[in-house]
Amino acid sequence: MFKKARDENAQQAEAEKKRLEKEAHKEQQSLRKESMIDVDHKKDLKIMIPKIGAVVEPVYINPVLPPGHGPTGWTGRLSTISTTLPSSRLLPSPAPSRRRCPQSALGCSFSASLLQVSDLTPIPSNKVRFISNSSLIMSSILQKRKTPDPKPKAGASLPESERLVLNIIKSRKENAIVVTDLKKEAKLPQPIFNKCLKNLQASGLVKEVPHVQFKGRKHYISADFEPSEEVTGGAWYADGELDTDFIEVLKNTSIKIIRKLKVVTDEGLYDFIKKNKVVRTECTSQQISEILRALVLDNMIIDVKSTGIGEYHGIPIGKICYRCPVGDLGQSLKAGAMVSIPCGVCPRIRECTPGGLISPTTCVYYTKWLDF
Amino acid sequence: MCVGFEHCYNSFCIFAYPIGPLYHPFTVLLLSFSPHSAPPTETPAMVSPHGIKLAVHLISTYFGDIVSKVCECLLRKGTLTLQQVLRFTELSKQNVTNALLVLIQHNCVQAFTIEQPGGFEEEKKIVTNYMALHDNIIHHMRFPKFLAIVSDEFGQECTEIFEGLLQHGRLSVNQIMDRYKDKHKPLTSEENSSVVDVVHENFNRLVQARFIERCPAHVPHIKSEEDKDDAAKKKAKKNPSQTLEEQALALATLMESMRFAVEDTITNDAPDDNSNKKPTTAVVGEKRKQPETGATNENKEILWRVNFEEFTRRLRHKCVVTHVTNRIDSVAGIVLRAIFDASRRNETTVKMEKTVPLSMETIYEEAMKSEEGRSLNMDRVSQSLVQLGCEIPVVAIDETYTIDLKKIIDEAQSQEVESIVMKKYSRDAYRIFRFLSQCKSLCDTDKISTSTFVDKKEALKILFQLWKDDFLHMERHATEAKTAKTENLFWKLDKVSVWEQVLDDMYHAALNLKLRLAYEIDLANKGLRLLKGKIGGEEGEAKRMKMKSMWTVLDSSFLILDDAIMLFHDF
Ligand code: SF4
Repeated sequence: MFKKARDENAQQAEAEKKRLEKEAHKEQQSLRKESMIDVDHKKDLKIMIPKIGAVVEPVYINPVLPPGHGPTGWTGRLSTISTTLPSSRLLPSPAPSRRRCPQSALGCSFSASLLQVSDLTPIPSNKVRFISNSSLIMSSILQKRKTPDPKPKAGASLPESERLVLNIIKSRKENAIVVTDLKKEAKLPQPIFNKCLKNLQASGLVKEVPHVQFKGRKHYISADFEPSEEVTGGAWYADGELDTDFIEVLKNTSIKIIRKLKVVTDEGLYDFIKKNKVVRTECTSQQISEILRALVLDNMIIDVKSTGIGEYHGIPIGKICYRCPVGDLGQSLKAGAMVSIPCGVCPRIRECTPGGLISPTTCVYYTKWLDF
Repeated sequence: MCVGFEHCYNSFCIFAYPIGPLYHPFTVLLLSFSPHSAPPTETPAMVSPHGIKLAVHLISTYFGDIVSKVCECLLRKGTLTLQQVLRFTELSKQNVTNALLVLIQHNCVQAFTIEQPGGFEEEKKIVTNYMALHDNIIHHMRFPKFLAIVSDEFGQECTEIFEGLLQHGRLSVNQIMDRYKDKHKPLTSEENSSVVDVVHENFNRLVQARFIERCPAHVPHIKSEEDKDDAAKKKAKKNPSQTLEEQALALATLMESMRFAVEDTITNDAPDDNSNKKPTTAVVGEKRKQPETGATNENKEILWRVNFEEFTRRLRHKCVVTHVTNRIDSVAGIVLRAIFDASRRNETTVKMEKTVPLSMETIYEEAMKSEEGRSLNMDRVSQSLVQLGCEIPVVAIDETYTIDLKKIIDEAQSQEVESIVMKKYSRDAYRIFRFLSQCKSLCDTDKISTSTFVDKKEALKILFQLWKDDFLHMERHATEAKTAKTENLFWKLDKVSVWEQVLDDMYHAALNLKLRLAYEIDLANKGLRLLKGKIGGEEGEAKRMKMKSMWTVLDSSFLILDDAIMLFHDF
């Protein structure tokens, strides 16, 4: 009885398996149909993106490269293509660089692919524009980012174009190169150039760095070099932005210490900070000197020359040291003669004349000031 | 013809009458409504546009439109002859002459004669020129401050004499006496004689303190190169760049010993009995002086006026002491005040760059004289001297100490400008401005940004803003990098021009304050007239109080602003 039941179960399972296989096959067939690009010179075409939810990136097709290096290109005539991703139609995508365009099998003649993305900026996952060219028409495929290909060893078996780009970047050493200059020097067609850059980045040979002065422009540097101060902005910059929080912390801490110690030299303050571990983040003595000079500019502390006696005992005579002023410096700033009247800080003072359109008798700043 | 000055034969010379305060009929007429007076002391420099506007406004308020028109003409066009003034102002000769007389009476204009080469077959001519003394005109708005100083130091009776001089510009001792007697009319003859003593005594005190001085020469004569004697030539060689105006002022200024010589003026100043009087001493005899050295005519009394220099000096001392007290501490202020008190007699010019060298003992003794300084000891005084920038040797033998006043004044000026930058822009701008004020040469944007911890883009924005408002000077320099030609911006703070600009703004602001005050007073008067009888009691009182406080704010702000103007212009 048990055996019969087991057999029945096995049969059912077998039938179910077959049914599932059939269904899966059907679905694959239908999806394969849907993912094909209609190339009947339609203005707007739709392609089904294999999978949604993952980062979608373009694949650069290099028609110059021999097969096996990057995705295979296909030729044909293609106008603007917009892609939409219905979330219900999902299909596990094949390996990114090995995907073959079904159109190529249909004998369409596409020469290259060009994805208009502004210099590798993140692409909206569901919309990509292709630009057509009557003679040279390009296309591309969007696909999700999967685990990257294993890193090729630096310089080993790099295609010539990539090596060219890499060498240009390397020649700049620690000074990063801006993408426009790189393009100009490489003299490669845009898609190839983009692909090279992409591959180099993916292989970790090249990295993109933020340039403190030209924040909107992409800069690349070879992985062998660390970006120079000119690029990073120096020790006070983090990710291309001035690290104001860190500066404030250091400033406040320094003021507190100076108030406590009365008189300090820059080395003295650095030693104190290091010894007592006052600041969690590492800082150099150079940074402390800079902070002290900025505090002098802020008029929070004053710089004086050591006399070697009294409070300056132990500090060599003539050495610059820093101390808090005895008087209230902030007060003197507020009590300036000009700043206490409207005209002193008036933005229209140059246009203000007696009897003019802006005049002291009609002045609104005065009216507000005298409104007790 | 001019009676007072032997050199002047010019038919256009206004000195057709002897210059004396209340003698000229028209002067008397005008003086009856002229509230104040003043004297020439400093050389005329380039006056800022709003400095002129303010001066014209002051003159117009004090002496009316005709005088202010003549004054404006002189301020804008520089030194002019009477004929030129007539041409430019298009006023009648009588009006211009009278206006010039008023201005001279109130020490706002200095006349001088100069030899002009004659034309074809013409003889050399001696021409009288008139120059406006901008500083003296501006001093008119400081009279309340001067009065307060005299009142604090000498009390009511001296203040009365002093007030008379402020009101009338120039007075002889007899006139001062008459004024005093007039004010205190119900006095017996016995009391009258004691009044003379009181006036003399108080007058002497004012002269001793150098608050008043003899008037300078009315119309000094500038000799031509050929006529100059050796001494004058040597002098001219020393100062080759001296302008005509500067020469005239130098010639008009009396010798130091003459300026404050008092004894004989009091005994010999009767106007009608001095024609045959022989001078008893050199000082006494200087009643009639050569025009070059400056003097009044023999048949006239010696005239006195307020010595602005002394007041400027006092206010400068006060400003420096206040700054030091705020910046260092009160003891440093006491020590510096002691230094000023001990060296008062030895100061030669107003803008002394350094204090007179004094020993520690002298400074200490002087400090002990004041109430606040009584608790000080020698160590504390020496500590303050160090704070004030003196270097104290370990072993001091006959050591003397001087304080760098220029540095303190510079610091105070910078502070004023910095406070404007801070309030008008931001703290970052303030830091950038301070950084550039320490840089001697041009600085590029990157350096400024990194040294001041301001983001590069933000720094550039601030720098442009400061440059747009004339606070900074900018230069573009192209640099050839490996790949491309780039243009770098370099920045610099030109203190001289910025300080001039700030001073001009201050004059502008002062003028605006004055105009607004006049407007508010006018408005209040109109309002009160309209509301007369309509509102009363508490409501009316509240309105009056509000107006009063408004005027007080405007007035006191004006006085504070005037301190700042002096800091930038007179100190
Ligand atoms: S009067 Fe008013 S508008 Fe004119 S400068 Fe002063 S504040 Fe500006």
